[in-house]
Amino acid sequence: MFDPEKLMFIIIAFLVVIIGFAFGSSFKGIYYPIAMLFVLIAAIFVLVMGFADTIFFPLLMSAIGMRFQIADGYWMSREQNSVIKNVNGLYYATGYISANLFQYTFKLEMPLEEEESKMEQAPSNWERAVATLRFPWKYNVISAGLDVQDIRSELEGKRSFQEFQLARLMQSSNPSATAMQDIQREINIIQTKMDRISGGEKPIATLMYIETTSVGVSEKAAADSLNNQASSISTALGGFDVQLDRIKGRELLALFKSNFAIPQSIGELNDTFDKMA
Amino acid sequence: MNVKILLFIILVAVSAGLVAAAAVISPAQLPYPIKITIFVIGLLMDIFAIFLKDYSEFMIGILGQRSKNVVVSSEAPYVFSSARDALVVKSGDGYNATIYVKIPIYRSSTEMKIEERVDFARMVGRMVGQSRNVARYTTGMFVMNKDMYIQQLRESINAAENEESSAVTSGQSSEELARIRGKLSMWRNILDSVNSNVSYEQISYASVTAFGTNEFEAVSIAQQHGRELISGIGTLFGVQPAVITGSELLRFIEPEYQLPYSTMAENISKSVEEEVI
Repeated sequence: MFDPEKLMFIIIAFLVVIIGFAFGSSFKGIYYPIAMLFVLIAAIFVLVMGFADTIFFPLLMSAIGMRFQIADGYWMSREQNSVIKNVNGLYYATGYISANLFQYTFKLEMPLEEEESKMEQAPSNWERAVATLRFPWKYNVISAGLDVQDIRSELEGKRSFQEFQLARLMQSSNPSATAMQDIQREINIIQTKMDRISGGEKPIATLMYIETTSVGVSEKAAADSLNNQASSISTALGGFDVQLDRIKGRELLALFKSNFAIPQSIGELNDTFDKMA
Repeated sequence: MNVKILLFIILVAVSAGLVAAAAVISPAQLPYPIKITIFVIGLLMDIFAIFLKDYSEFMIGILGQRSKNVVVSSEAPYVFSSARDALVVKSGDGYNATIYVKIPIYRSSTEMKIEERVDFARMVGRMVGQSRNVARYTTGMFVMNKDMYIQQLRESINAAENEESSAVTSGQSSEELARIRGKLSMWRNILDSVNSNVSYEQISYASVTAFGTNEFEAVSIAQQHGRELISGIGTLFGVQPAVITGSELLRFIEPEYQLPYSTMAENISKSVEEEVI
């Protein structure tokens, strides 16, 4: 789901583009196409930075050849997909991969028997994956408990809305079976969440990622080895039905910093990470 | 209001003003070349505003330094607390302190019955959801530190080499010379076999961060959160988690401790030798 706050920033920045487009016609002759060209460039930058900044910014900086020192002794690679440290001539490259396993073990529509079966297989699947990876890596789960009452009230509100939608659809002259099924499915998901909370489970927000480190005699050797390790992790965890993406740019910097101080609230986590939250 | 958001709004407002003013002012008052320059500056400011929102640290560095190697921060990413049981990071007007807790769980799915596997998976879920504070749970593979052992082996090899050369110069008997060479060969074989494989160990730990107006307060709150984690994890799994202190903590945050220098350097030089041969 797209973050509404982020959307607001894009709209505000895009207003300037609209103003430029509206007033640009006041330029005459050769100045008109120049004005429109810059309006177009601004529109592209605003949209790309708004919707795909974690891809675009590293690409742009890599193309320019920019390299960033993010702390004493630590550099970001030019591709901004790893943190490099040089210790007495050996280069250490650390990369991060998003890996949200939540869907795997806590699928909300999953029947109880299926969930039990997945739970039963989870430890052995995990051990099999661990055994195949012959390099250092860490699986991290950042979690925070949410307020039970708040979440319950929110879910009740959502369920009432879906029930109202269903009732309205049923009263219509020609109710669509597919639409009714979709709403019923939504209601079931919400009900499952509510049942879990009633059963004593605490609602939590989680963010999961993998960190892996490689070593090489040059920065390139370390980075190449890190890329191989990232591919191996993708293969090994394939059985968990989890989407794995390399973290780049500002999210990489945030995860590097989180090694030393974890963000303090869910809001801060959500603001920092687009891919994993 | 957040400084970044305030700066973004100011920049967008100024850029909108510049774009509108450049387009509205008549060419009689302002010649076209100046008008188009102001128009373009306005649009560039808008682009800069959207970059600045998420990439302020990078952009300030880029603007402040005319180099392709940009220093975003040259400070140490953390310092140890005075008792060396927490990492302390300056954050705004206060400090963040992070405590690491080792989780000694050494169970394998192969020795569990089906129900035990399901229970174990559920316990892991419960552990992740136990804390209301933001906490991070990590499990990972770490390279076993053989640095000390390798160092001892190297010293033994050096001693045996010295013994051999002094035996040759002092004209010792052939049996004695054979014995010393045998010893030297034994130490070299042991070093070769130690280097032939990197050994791994799986370690699990949890970490939690707390904010305080001074270092002491931050560390005390983090210790309190750490104690809550220890008690929760201890009750769930029946183990005794402990706060990680001193140099052991470095294994979880510094890459050269995760992949120990001598162990990796020996391993790399051995691989290079093998490739050359």
